[in-house]
Amino acid sequence: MIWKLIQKDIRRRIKQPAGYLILVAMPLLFALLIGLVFGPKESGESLIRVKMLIEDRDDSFASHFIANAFGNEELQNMFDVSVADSGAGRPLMDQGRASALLIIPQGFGDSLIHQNNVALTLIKNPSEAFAPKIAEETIQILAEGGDRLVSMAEGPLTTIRRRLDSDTEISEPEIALMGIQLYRMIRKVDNILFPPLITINTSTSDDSEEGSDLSSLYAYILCGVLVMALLFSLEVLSRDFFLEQENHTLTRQRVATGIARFVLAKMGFVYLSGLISFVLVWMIAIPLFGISLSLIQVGRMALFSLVLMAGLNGVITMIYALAKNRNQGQSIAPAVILGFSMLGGAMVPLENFPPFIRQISVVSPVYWGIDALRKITLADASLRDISTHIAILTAVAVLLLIPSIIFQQRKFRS
Amino acid sequence: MLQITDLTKRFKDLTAVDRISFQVNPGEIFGFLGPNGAGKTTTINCICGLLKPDSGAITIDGQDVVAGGDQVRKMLGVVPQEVALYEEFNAIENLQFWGGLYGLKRSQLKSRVDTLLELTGLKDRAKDAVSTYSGGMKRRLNMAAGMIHQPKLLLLDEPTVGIDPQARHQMLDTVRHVAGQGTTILYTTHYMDEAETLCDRIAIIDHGRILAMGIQTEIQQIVGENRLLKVTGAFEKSTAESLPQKMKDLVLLSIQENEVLYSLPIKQTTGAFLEILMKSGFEIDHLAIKEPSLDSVFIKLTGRELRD
Ligand SMILES: Nc1ncnc2c1ncn2[C@@H]1O[C@H](COP(=O)(O)OP(=O)(O)OP(=O)(O)O)[C@@H](O)[C@H]1O
Ligand SMILES: [Mg+2]
Repeated sequence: MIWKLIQKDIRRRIKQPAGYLILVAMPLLFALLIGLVFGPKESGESLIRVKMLIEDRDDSFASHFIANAFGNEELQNMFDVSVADSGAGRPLMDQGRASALLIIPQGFGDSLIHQNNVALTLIKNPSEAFAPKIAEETIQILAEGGDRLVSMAEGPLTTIRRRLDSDTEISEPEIALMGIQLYRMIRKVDNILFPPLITINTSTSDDSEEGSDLSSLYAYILCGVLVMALLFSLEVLSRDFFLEQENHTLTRQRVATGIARFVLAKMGFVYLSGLISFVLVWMIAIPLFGISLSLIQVGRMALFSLVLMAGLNGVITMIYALAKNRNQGQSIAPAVILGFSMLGGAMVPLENFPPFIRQISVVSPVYWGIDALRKITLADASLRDISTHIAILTAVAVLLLIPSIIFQQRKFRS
Repeated sequence: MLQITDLTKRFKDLTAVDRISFQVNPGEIFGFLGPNGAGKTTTINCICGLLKPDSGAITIDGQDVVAGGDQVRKMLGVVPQEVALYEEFNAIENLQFWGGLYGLKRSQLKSRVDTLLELTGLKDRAKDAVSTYSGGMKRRLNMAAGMIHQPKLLLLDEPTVGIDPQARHQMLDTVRHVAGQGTTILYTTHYMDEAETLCDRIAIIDHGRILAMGIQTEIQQIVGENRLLKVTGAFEKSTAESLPQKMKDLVLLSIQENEVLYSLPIKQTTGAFLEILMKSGFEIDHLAIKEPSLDSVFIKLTGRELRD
């Protein structure tokens, strides 16, 4: 019987496919748009702020150069840099105060000047999903720049050496300027191979290991946007609760089957539509953004989507069960969706929120959805790793479903 | 078949249905006659489980309706006052869907759809989307959808509102046909003539209460063998009031600015009444004569006329 009701909704949508397709494709459009707007760019305000801690054990012009590089116009949008005293970095990291810790060893400047090999150490904060990766990539680029700088700039190096010997201070802006100019110059001659002088030892403060490429930034943003967009899409589809009432077709269904089946079937239809949206997004976004997922990851994602959709569906159905009429529902729903999405980190990464907001964000089902998706795509988390997320979203679905039916029943029968 | 005892339904302060009791016998067409807001739809909604009564009992074939259950649902068919169809579907798709909800098998469904399309004269347009139908066609399909599963009890809520006389005739024939096949029918209307020509028994309802109930001749005894005479025009109020003294058995029922209503036994001639009227100085614009009918019963009972 419920399946007959769902079939009816599918048939109705097939009669007017354009409108339905737009609804189902909405999360995809959202994802594409926001991906393009907020994705990584050459310049401009970045959505992600990387808290970069630099422990400068060298305190030379070269270490200042690196610290300053994060302050240049291209990077300052993304980085908040603070400098820690020698030995103070690690304790701060352990308290989770930064996205990444860069340790510049003693003698770094000297080694560069004398063209000896030297290693930087980068420690990433495992509790943050993306910011540490950005730090890593940026330092990689800087290191390459440093390499090339040293190799190419025989001339300037000599000058520097001489000026250092003569004990005249080089001002910090001077170093920064020189750095940027050289950096740009070097990037233009990318095809010339230089032997790497600076190596980077990357580690995470615990020992989880992730890949790092630019596409994972898209994946990171996508996970957030997707959950929010799905909610919006489900919301519009759920308006059928009221449209069927307004068309009086609800009257007949209630007489024939009772309200519970109607609510279940409507949820079922919205649920299926949500899954279609979900599949659509990944099918198109993965090749488009170059997100690399293994078959196992795709499988986990598929399984998780079943739970995710149920949880999101429960939220929307509840809103519509509580709303007195469509107008009320339509004005409450977007507010709830936006609130949950904000709190869940759909738009701004949670790392950038004050700690107390981070603590209450667990009340948002969106948080659990996004977090699990990010863990699957970016950290290759297994289903066991996200079992809490699965349990919570399942509970949300079940716990909201039953009262929704009761509220719907009450609303109509009195 | 249908037994209603002391049914009461309130909406906040308003008592839409006030302790009504009646019974519809198997195979009967029971007319539920009342003006706008009388409580007809509210009663029907309570019967088919859409509304929860505040008090009272409703049973169909001895089974309690409020407790619900699929068994009661299957016995019951409803034709809602408002057209309740999927506009994007055609007639066949609509009927198949609604029939499917009652668990009709494919072959059963097909023959029922055919029968009903024939019965309601929608065969030619059966494959067009309902959104392209006229109001009357929608009403006919609405009716067909309510009886797709051959319910034992069919509740019809003003099914003929807003359709032309010919289509209305056809619909009434359909109702008779269905009743002839043994379906019990509760027929709600505010049309006197429908109640008079269609229904075996009638209840007159207003402000949520049943004012009169019985077979037509029983109800008509309320007004007896009296005509109603409605005079419109210019007159003195006192003159109008004094008229019954001048003519035996003439009764003043109501009086307004330029309209006065009398009742007069049918054995008295209307001509004599007209003569007295003219002599008394009435300037008559219009004189309406109503033969004894449910209409006059209603006016007698409520002091108001049913809308037409
Ligand atoms: N859901 C509701 N909420 C509040 N009041 C209602 C509701 N439904 C009906 N009423 C009120 O109950 C009274 C009876 O309404 P009902 O619809 O039963 O009348 P009806 O006899 O069907 O009239 P009509 O001929 O206009 O269909 C009316 O005064 C109406 O305003
Ligand atoms: Mg009504």
